Amino acid sequence: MEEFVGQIWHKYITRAATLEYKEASVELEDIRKQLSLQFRAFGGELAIELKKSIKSNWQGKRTFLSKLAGAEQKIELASVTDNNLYLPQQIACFKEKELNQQCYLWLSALLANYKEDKSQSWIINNINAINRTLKKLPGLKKIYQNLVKLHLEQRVQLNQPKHNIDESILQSILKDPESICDLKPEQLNHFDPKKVYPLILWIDPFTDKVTQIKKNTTPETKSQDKPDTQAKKLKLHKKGEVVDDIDEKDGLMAFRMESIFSWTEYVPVDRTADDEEEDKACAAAEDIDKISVVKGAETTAAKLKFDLDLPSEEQDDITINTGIKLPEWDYRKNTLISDYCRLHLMQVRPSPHYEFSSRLKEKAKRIRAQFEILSQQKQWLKAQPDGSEIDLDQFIVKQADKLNGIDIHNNNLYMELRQNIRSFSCLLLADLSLSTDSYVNNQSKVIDMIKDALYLFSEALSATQDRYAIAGFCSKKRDMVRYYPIKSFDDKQTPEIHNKIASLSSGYYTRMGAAIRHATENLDKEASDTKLLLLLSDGKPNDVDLYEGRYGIEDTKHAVRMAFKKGIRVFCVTIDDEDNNYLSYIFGCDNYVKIQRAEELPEKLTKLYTLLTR
Amino acid sequence: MSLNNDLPMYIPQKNEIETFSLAFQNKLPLMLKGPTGCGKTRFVSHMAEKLGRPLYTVACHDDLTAADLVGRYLIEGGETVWRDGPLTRAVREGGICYLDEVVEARKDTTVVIHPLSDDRRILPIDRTSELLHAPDNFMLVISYNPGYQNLLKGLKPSTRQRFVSITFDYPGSEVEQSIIKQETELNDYMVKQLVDLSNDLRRLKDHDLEESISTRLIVYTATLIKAGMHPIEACQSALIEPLTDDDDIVKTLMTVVNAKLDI
Repeated sequence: MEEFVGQIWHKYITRAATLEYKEASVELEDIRKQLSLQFRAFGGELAIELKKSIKSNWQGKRTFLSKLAGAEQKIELASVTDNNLYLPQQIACFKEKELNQQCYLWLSALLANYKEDKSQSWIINNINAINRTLKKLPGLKKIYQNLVKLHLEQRVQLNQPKHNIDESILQSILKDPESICDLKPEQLNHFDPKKVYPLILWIDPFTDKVTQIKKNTTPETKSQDKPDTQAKKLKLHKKGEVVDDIDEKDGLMAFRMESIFSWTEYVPVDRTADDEEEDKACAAAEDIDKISVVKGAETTAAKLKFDLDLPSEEQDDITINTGIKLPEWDYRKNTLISDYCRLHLMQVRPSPHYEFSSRLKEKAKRIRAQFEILSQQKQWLKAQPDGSEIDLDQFIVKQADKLNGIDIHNNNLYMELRQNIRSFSCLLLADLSLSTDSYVNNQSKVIDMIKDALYLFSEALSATQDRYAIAGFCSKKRDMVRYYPIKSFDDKQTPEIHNKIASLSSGYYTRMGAAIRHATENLDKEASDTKLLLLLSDGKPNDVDLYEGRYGIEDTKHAVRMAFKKGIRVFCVTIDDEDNNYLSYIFGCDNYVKIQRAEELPEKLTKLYTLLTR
Repeated sequence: MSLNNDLPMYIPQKNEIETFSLAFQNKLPLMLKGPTGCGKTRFVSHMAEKLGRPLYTVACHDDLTAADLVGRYLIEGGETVWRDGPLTRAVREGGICYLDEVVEARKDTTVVIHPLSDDRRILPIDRTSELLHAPDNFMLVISYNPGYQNLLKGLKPSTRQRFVSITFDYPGSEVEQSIIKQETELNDYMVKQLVDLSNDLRRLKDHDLEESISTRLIVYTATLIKAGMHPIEACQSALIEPLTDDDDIVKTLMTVVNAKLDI
């Protein structure tokens, strides 16, 4: 009974404590596409990716009711970093759906015009951004003012009798942005966002911490990624926080006993060594909303550090050369750094175990037959000395000449159906990074699908007159970009090529730019009229060093643009299921295709080839 | 602005007028590169008028053959009559022949373009066994629109390298505003807003949109507004709808239009 009453009370009080209109809520996922397009159209950076805000407990003031309810006030606010744009997963602050939608619209406009000046306070930064936005987008004035008005009403409701200076400063600024001039600088400097209620219409005041931590921890955790853990992508975003190691000498219990049941406490999950309980750790990570990574904690496992990525020498693939130096584009400096990467040509160590399934071989036969028919497509050649049909145009000309008294000995009066010979070269470049090691279904991994695709592709093209080459790549930092030339343009299609494809395995990361540059060089040597670089990938460019996010994207874009300048068309086929905003930025909106289910890749790839080269 | 009422209005972006005039005086062929609707065709008709030469414009398409340019015999009532094509007429009269979107034309047109565009300046007509020498006031002008979509049928280097070339882009904001103002006589404030809006949307080319907003589309929009259409509706019909067939993108871009315009 006690429990029952407790539940009702909890329900009642939490509803009263949180200002939410569930029925009017708008989900980010539903309008994601519009929002990122709006953000760019409002002047935001093109390469930035839209992500869900990290759910965090509001670090500032809570309402009396919410304290009473014991409900942590979870709030998502908007923010923008060099690489990402964060927007709340849902907005339900306003009574009507339309208003919540307008709130998203406003945030995308505000973030597009937000330029943080670290020396200025949160208020000043926001006011400047708002002024800039409204000046650029006068049509938003009404919308913003209306949202502020409604929001102010809510704030006033929430306000407690106790006098809160910061809150009243903020409210007066909201009422009249001009009033900021009346404030003394020290008032502004002493303003503490922690002391006010969350303000959904402005930028999150607590963003620094999150990005900072990300910088600190990524390299370490990345380098120790194991294949199994990579396969499991946690779909939730957690707020990262680095806490000091627990000081065990301090015995004071600083929390009330009843809150022990809450998960939001420090759980010493060792992310790098906790392997046997991995599933549990994942489940726990989904439940809690703050993952604390202990810095400098000396567990026994942490002392034993080795790189799990590197295979022993006798198992590793064979390096053919000492390395080709390639440049890399640094968008921050806006320069191409020459000889920055070293690309090694690699030869796969043949593995006798892999066999393509008989079903695939059957399919290969069928597709090969189709391609044979396609390549035998014929074209009417006009003005031939002999042929199956009369060329009427030529005949009229001849008659006209005759009437004119000119007798040119033109007897080319026939048309003939002949095989269409085109001059075309295609290089298929496959991403072999470790992420392709994840499973697509119970039996096969992404890498298996890629192998099947390469196999079908090589079989299909061997039936045509087109020149084609196949290669794979992966990388580990800039001085080890591995490039596997599986079939060169001049190689004949032989069982050996099949073996090479079958022996491929996944490893390391995706330094796409360097691989594209090398493939471009190869294609550039081809004498064909039309050249195509077909890129097969399962994700965005990334590597263990700084090659991730925007840096990798900009470098790849640069490599693609250089290829284009050399007259090579780059087309990307991807099996990434996440937000693919970066794809159109890198390749241009007509030059990529997303494949939803990896199982479809092998067949889709060959179909796509015929479409592209028709 | 211009004293001559017949002279088509053109506001230069940089030195294109001088380049064109010098190329004309020195008997050099000219190539204009640039996106659609940025003023290439207007520029050519302006220059033809200014130099006082007749202009023959040919919009090239993928069925256009050399005979369409040079001319052909027609059979009329048992007789044959030779009809000059536009290129031949321009050569005979000493005019300007403008081949718009030349990459679209059949490959065999290069046979007639090449001898005319180097120092020989000749047009051999096989059918009539004539060999025309182009007079000094003949000029060949071609235009093309480089871009991703043209890669499979781009201009051959051997053709490209015969031409003096000028690259066009959409004019800068100031110039574009004065173009719109002169073309449509719409008020300054509205024109500025339209141009600002278009420049923001142009950033989306190759990313969300295949093509960007041309100056021509802005002129259309301004014309509709001047004629009394509501600015938002005018933007939808003349600025946004022509850009894409994707309904979602149209809707989203319209929210951007609503946000940008101060009406």
